[in-house]
Amino acid sequence: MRPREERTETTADETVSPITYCFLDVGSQKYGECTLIRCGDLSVLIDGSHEADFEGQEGYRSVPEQLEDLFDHPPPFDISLLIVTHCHADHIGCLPALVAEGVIRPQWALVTDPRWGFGRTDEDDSYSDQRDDRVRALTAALREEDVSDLSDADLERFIADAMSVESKYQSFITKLESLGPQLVLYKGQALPSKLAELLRPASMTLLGPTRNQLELAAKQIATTNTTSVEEISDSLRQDAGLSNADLYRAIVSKDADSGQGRGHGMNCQSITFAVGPPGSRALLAGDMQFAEPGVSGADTEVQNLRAKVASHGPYKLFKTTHHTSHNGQDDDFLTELGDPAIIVHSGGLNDKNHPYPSVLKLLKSRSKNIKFARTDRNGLIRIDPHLPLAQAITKSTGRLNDFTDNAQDPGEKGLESPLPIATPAPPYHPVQVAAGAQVVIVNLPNHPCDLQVAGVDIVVRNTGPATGTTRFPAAGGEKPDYRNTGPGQRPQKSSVDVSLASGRTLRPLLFVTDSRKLAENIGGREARAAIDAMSQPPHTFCDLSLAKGNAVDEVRHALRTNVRIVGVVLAGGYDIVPSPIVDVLPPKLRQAIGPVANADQDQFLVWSDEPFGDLNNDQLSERPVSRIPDARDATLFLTALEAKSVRPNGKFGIRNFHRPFAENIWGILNFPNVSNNAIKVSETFVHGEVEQQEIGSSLQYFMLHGSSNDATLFTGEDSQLTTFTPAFKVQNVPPKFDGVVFSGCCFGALTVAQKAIDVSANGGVVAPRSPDKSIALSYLKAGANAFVGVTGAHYSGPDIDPDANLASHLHMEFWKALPQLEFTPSVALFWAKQAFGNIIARSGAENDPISLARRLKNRSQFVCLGLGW
Amino acid sequence: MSSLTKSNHPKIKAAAKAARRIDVSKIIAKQLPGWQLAETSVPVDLTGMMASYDNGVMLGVTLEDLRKRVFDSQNHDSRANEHADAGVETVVFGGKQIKTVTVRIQPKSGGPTKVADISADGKTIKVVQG
Repeated sequence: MRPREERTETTADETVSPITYCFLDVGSQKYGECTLIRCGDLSVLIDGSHEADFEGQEGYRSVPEQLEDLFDHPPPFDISLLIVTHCHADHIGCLPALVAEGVIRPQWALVTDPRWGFGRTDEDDSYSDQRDDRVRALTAALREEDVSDLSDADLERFIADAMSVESKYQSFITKLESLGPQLVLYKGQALPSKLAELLRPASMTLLGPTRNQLELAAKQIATTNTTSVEEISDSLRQDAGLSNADLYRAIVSKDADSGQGRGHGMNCQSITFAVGPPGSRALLAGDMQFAEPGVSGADTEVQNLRAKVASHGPYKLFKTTHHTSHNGQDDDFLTELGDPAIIVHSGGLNDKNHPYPSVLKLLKSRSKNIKFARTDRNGLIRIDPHLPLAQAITKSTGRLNDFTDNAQDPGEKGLESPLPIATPAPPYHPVQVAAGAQVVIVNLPNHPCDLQVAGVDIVVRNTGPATGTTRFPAAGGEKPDYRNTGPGQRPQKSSVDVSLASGRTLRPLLFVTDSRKLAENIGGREARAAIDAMSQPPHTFCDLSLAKGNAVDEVRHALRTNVRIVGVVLAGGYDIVPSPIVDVLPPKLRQAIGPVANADQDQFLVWSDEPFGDLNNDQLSERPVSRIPDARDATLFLTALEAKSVRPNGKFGIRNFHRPFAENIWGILNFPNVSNNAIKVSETFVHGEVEQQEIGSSLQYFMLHGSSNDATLFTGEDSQLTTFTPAFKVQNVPPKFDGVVFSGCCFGALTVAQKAIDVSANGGVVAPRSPDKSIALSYLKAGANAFVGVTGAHYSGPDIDPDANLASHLHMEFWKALPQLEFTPSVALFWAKQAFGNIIARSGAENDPISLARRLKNRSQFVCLGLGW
Repeated sequence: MSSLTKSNHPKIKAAAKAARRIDVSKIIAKQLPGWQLAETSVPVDLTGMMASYDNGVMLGVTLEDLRKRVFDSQNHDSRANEHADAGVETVVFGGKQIKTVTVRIQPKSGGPTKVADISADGKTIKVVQG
């Protein structure tokens, strides 16, 4: 994992106002992007669509008209920050006119530096008055996105207009300076502290690009300028009668044949922001080409930016980059972002190539898990990512998840009347109506939100007629209920009080976290409260932010110096306390099984927390280890830290048809007061049959199929093994759960988007999953003491004989140990691994190296998520 | 373990021989209709891997390590073994060699891939993953 860089970040405020993102209708004209972000009094306008959108394209509302709808008053509109992501005409758009005409009044402007933005490096002086207008116009047009599919007349007009883009941008900057906004010409520097402070309520984090990336891109633009001039001049020398349109198309078609594109340099200068709090974060990255940078020498820089973007995820909202082009995003990138649930495309309808067909296909393959909105078919789009998904998107027209290719179906304008979308008024207006005692009139919004007015928390949960309940500050009053907050949202409280293990007395434990990173992920106040709880005697607290060595070495040192510590609890996800990757095959064994290793999805490399408990470097743990992943969700983290003890009140389990060995395991789960109900068999059992009464059972066992790509579903199978059936979904996780889950499902305890082999082979950062993307994390958020499962592909097989089955002994040892160890899952897993290791040791395992490899993998990859004590 | 090398281990030799003899695609088509052979991973070069990851790649436990834990009285954790020994009288797995060919398969309709063992005579397929 790359060390997290110092970054220009506006750390989330204690109480974050809801953030609304409006993606303006950019009409039918190809490309274009204009986004308005509002958060309380803060408003940020990013890019300005097309120049023609100041007046409005035929049949479409102009940008000023749309802004009037959104602000709900006539111009001028006060803009806290105006951003120009890069210097393409479809992003600068009508911003110069909006400023010149006084339609918008920016307080700050963060804009791409004009010299670098148009490739005016010291080595390049191709833009000069000595060139004739025709060459200048064509050179400028070739810097823009490919518009060779326009009609001749439109293309001639485009070329003529292109010539003035740079000069108008220069004038625009001069105008901004004269009007007094505080102007920042972006060259990779950090935000001024005052601007960072201004953006704090929206948790806006500037991610890049770096100065080096900007310079490399500028050089490429400069080269484009030079080569364009030469090519145009050569062509005109050969045939002066060529029209501009013909000449433009000839040059662009040569680019296409060679796989080059002249717009890459500008795109890779796009200013990139992460916006919003954990759980409802958005990524806005202009036209950044994350998938195929196309800028000479900049691959590493873009890769670093991509890693940085991922490290600030997961994201709920992703505005696709470069108008949903193949070079902007790919499947891996979406995974790294944490599989955003809301994806928005910006661009005009008259565009056969955008959204790019292959990307549409990719999005369609994810259609079960995403809501896709697109300005070319949905008009003006408003996103409220803090709301549940079903309520988070408001569109003007069309249908969501329309994956229609514009080349196949050009669409029709006007089938539905676009509805103006108004941004809700600020959520409350305190009004003092009398001296002395204050009466505050609160206008509640018609959507769920959390407010704090005069020290009183107001929680709005029901939509429809505005209703609210008040919750008083926790100090001296009732204990805050973290579980009342929505998925991924922070508890909105004036104080946080964490009761470790719900006040139970635990034996001395070592709690390990990185206080700085934990605060970044779940909020400073929540992190402080958690660390206070973890630091209380008899426990020991290890803060990796103060450590000089790596996490494993620090923990081992702490354990060696305090022999009273009986177990380790890692507090945070892999981005806070990095998980070791364990190669479970000793070199000779890997050599022995040869190509069989490549059949394994993980190639026998797994995430394992076991090394943290290994005191004597014998690759075997001497202390139980559990981990509470934060999932960047304070509610989950604090709830898991407060986990109650496991009290057997019932059992619930599902197994695959071809995993009958699970019946033997199930038979062990017999306790007083626990009914001896049968384990479900997935041949017939499907998720819709999960009953409320059973799902609350505190002992749960899953022996189903799982996937590294989708942790929200465990599947069963029919008896003929012809289809997978959905046996258990994340939606089946009970809202409250005080128990333990043991899962033999592949990747069931994988709390990040990447398998160990992905990170070990390719480097990069891990992308934590959110609770709604993981059954395991959802259980923890519901209050589970532990979710015990595997981080990679699991091996078992159809054999009932436990000696023939690859997992049976391990599963059995866990459930046997649990009641003997006062239902402490972390310790039960520790003993089960020891027992399983002993069984392997006593066997003739060397005679069957493939089975040995699979058993060693199972032994290493089981982890205990949750407090586990 | 010292005798476990790719070239001379009897199981591997047997498996390689079996793989030459049977057409796994046909067997899968016949015995697991709806499934197909999936590509296995490209072997990774494990040397120098993970220089950029904080905790690096760590070696897992070996059979020798496990045996040392069990049989070396000085390192013997009596509680662990007492527990492990309970109810496990005789362990026989690994005692019998089963000649198989390991493949990765995938449902034709999509979905996660699975590892399966095909017996050397091609008569049985055992999905061992999951």
